[in-house]
Amino acid sequence: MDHAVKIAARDLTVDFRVPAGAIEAHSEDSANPRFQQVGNRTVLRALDRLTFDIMPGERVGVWGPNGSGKTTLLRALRGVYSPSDGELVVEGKTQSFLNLTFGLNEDATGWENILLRGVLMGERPGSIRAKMPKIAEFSELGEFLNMPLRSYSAGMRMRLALSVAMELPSDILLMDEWLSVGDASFRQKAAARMREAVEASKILIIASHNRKLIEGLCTRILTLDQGRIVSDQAVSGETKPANTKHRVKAGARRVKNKSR
Amino acid sequence: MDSAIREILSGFADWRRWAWLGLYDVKLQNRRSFVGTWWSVLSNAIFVFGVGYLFSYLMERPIEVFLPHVGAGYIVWQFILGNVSQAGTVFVSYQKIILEALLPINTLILRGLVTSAIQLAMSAWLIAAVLVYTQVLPGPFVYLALAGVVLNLAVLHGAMLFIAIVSARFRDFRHLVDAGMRLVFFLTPIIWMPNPADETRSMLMAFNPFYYMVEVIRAPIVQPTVQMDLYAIVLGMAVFTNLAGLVAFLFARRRLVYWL
Repeated sequence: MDHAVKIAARDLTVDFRVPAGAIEAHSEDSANPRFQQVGNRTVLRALDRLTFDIMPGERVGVWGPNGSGKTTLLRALRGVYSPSDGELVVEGKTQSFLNLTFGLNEDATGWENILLRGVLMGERPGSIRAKMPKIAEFSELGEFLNMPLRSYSAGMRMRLALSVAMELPSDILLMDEWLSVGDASFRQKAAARMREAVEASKILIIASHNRKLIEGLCTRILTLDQGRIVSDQAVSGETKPANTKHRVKAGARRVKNKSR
Repeated sequence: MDSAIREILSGFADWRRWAWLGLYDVKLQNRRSFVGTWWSVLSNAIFVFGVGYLFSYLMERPIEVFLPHVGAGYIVWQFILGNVSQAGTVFVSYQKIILEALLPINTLILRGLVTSAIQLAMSAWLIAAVLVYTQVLPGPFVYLALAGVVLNLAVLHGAMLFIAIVSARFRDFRHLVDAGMRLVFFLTPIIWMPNPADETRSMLMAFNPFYYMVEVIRAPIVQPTVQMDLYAIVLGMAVFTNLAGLVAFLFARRRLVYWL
């Protein structure tokens, strides 16, 4: 890869507006510090001043309980949510794989759904058609590809969607919880494939609350709780320094938004 | 401002994607029914012939005048109505795609326009059948109906963008639009005919944008002359709706994902 691939976040904050009156704003004795008062609005601070760098070749597991901000972080990295505050620089083409079923059609066959999904994720119909044999082979769905999606189990759907994702060009792969759906053998195969793909100069970020799964796949684990990074560890056990000094390169996709 | 316009233009430029998606939607629609996609034409046929005969009797109009008027008018109306009402749900029902796929804002709208344009083309057979049945020759400038379709698509692109954005923020808006459209159907000369001697009827038409949208397609089919002012008015409407859509988009750009 001849271009830079890298992620840098500085005090990355994402707020969601809470409907007026739904929640009492954060006060001294409030039970939940994530609801904060910004101006005259109550906001849910989904991500609270995250600072980290991710370098090429890293496979980062984002671990934390439900509602800790894992998916929001992935969406922010994808560029769906822009930072409410702080700075986020993402260099490289991201491909996200957060939802297993979006864009799929129940009455369409597996083959047709490969096309549908691929086109929605940015491929030209012609180029995805050329990749179809490889996708089909990786999915191991065989004859089922001629059947309508209705007849698929959850695990089979995951295989289909994941096999498509594997063939899409990307530098930064963002994934959410997909591993837990597959059976053991496919899970291993997918993990191996992913390790291989990331080896060179790509980045993989995968969110899960299953610690064991991400320990097996990742080189580093970011632990989130209540929208904050509570630990940033290499999988071998040593802790990375949390706030390394860093300068943002010019020409990067820069998402900066101080206004509210 | 710039980047908003650029996003909309990049939506147009990505025509392979939306054209293919729109086409595929037609293919996958009603897959399990025998008549399949032609159901939309068949149900139009049932309405056109049923209402055509009933109202030509009630309004004492000769069937060879009234049936082509209803036939062309109703099919164009169904085309407009289908697009306007799907605009109210497009962002909400494709929420999963929007929160992940980073499509330009108008891709899903253009996808819908392609689908409905194909259905309109299929319904052109019904108009032909009506003309054959009533032994009426189409007007000499019948090919100008195509220009009318293109103008309608332009008006609808802006209108749908506006409706889709407002409906994402205010979920009541869609129901208001639906209720309004039901009334507009009766206010528009589709199941009744214009009568220059009748001032109320002429007023209803003069201030009804939908009259111009229907008439710009219908007039070349059933009338021998060309009305240039129709084209100017509908073109003006296209500029207006697209500006309205753009303004809504400028406001909603960073906020839309939080509304879904």
